[in-house]
Amino acid sequence: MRNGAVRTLLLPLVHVRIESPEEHIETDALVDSGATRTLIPKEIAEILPSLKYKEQRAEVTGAGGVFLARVTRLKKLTLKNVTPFANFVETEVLVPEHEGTLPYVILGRDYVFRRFDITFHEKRRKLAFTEI
Amino acid sequence: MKKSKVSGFEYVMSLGDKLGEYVEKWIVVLDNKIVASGENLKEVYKEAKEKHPQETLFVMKVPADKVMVL
Repeated sequence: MRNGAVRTLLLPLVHVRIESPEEHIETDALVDSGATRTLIPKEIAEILPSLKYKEQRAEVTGAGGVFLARVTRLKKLTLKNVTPFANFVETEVLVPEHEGTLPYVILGRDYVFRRFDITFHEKRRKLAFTEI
Repeated sequence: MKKSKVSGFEYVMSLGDKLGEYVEKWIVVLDNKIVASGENLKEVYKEAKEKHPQETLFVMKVPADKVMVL
């Protein structure tokens, strides 16, 4: 649906900065405790052309089905909602082979959840990061 | 009164229903303003980057109803 059909979003989205060797971009990311890996939409990876990919492909199983993803390494991933900003360097991420597979970056348990205890305060609509 | 600048993320999150015309489109945000939008991120990002080469741009796909029900 279009034109005014947006409903209020209650997703655990955070503000992230993504850096490849030569470019950087900021976008939104879903904090997803159900995801084992961190993923980046193909559309976003394409505007970071200096990313280098491994030859191997990874098979990803999600709620929407199974898809293949390429493996790459970000120069840096920064969580901007956290004070001070949390930086993850040389972060390995998966990029789906096809566009339209992901609507936003997915922060899985491989990096962010290893550094922070993350609490979802559903009633207060708040997401809290506590450094471990 | 001068509008204070917030991050691109905070600006988009504050828009709520006003994002209706951008549903299922990619938007590029800079300084409390959507500076480019469209269905192809590569194209809209290029358009925005040509106008603002030194700035860090915030990009986001505005989700449709079907995406929001996760």
